[in-house]
Amino acid sequence: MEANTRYLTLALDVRAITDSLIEFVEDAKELPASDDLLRSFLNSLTVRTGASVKTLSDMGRFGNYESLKTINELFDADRKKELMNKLQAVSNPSSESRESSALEAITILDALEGTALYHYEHPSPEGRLAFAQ
Amino acid sequence: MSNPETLILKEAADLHRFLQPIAKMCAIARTDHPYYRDASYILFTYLSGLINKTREYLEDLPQRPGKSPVIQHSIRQKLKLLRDSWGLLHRYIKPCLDADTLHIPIPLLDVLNDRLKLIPECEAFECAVFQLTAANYAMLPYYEVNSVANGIARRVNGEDFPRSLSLVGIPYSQSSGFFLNCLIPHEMAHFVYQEIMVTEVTNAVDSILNTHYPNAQDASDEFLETLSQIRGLINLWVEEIFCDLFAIALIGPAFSFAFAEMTSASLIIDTLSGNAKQSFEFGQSHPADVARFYLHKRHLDALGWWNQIKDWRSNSVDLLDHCCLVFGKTTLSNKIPPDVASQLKLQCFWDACDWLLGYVKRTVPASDKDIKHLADHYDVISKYLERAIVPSTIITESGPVYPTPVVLINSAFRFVLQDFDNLLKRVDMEPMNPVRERSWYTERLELWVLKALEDYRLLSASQEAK
Repeated sequence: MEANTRYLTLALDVRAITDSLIEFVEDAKELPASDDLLRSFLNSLTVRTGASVKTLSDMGRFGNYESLKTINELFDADRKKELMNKLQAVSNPSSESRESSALEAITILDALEGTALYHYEHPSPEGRLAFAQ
Repeated sequence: MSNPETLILKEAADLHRFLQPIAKMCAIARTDHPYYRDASYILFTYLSGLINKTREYLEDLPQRPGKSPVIQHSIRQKLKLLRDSWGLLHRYIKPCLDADTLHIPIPLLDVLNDRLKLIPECEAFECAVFQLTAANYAMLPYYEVNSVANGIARRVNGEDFPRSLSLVGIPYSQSSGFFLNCLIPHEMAHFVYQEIMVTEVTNAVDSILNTHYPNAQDASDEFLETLSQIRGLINLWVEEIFCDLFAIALIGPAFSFAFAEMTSASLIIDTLSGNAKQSFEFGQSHPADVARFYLHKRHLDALGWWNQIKDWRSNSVDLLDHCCLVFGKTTLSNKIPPDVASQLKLQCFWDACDWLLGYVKRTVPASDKDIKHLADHYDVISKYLERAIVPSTIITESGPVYPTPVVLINSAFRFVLQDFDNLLKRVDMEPMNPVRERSWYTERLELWVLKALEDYRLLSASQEAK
């Protein structure tokens, strides 16, 4: 498998969340109530008490190495918490800052998508090696 | 500097223009010569539909330029993402267009597809083919096409990739080959795995990993990344083994023999060979060849094939036996990052394979009749082949028989591995260079077997009609 294609899939998954946020801002359409992708993404941002295979499986599509590496590369613990708070604020109908939170979350997610695309377009030597085998 | 609306318009038009010629190619493929298998038409039709949806999305953008600069910027990034995603699909369109019916092993693909459809939950599966420039076989994993196509579709209100369609790549030069193309069932199996089995197998592997890697309190992000790499590797290796075992269930030991030819694995039992070191190494995408052959033999034994083949006078059979003696010497390749290699416990892989052998035997039924019929019919089939007669209908003591595809495929391997000289002895021609002679007659043999496979479908269909 071409390892760097996982970065493209990561970018597409992030875009799915971003598009929901854009629809919220533009069309007042609520985020999907039971969205596995969003739940998995929030799990990947949550503060961990340990590290196990279950931790990874709870992250769903964001539990693979390429996703973890990109998220950790871009966000420290504070930034992860900030993004999680923004996304939870958008999901919460009683929050007063839903639209501004959505716009701020879009900016952060665009950075994540952009980094994933960068890795897709610029595979590491290890990634190229894996494909060549 | 251009305003954001103008930039969105330009970038949308650029992508629109990029897609235009691809749409034309897919449209021509659906309406003109050359001809393709049905699965390829399904693919071209799907891609045409997805291109149309993408273009509709792009054409609609000027009406929805975005309220704020943040959204305008995000839309532009989305255009880049769509372009990159289409760039990936673009890689596979030409290789699929090149794989018309004159350039793929149609008779073999048809019988393999028939066999695949006998597996529970695989009844609707279709296999489209594309050509690879590498001398290798490949199935496009979900990350390569399905996920990306679905990612595009969901962003432009298109339809998901057809659920029952797999894409298998074969070397562009091997369209008329038979022996190496017996690797195709392994590639088909990747699709079955990803479509049907992945959750069950991954859960079983996770459970095994949990026993070897219990929860590490206060572990760093780096450790979690390493654990994810270990999990990814074990799952990749297990998927490869699943596909090997599935291929054996589908066509019997022929798969192991084709794999041995592809990997030049006979060097493993050559005591003078220092070159076989790599065959003992687990790599970044595949388990060690020695481990694979060892597991092949266990599966062949469990299915009842081993008793049938163990006395064949062939290096390939010796190889399976030999790998059972040396599989414990397998190790990790130095291409695996040191931090991963130092923590990766190979026992997880072996534990997972112990579970997998039982799982595949339960879920992918093999045909006992084929094993018996190979024993009953091989002597007659080999007599036909040594006389250059296509064994579509053979005359046995009990009357005329149409040998089944699995019997034909394995008879062909047995013949080429141990009885091929009987054919060469009968050749009444000027002596040729022995390599050229063997190569030429092996190619003939492939054509006879492919013809018999093609005939089998016609003959068995006509028998059913009666």
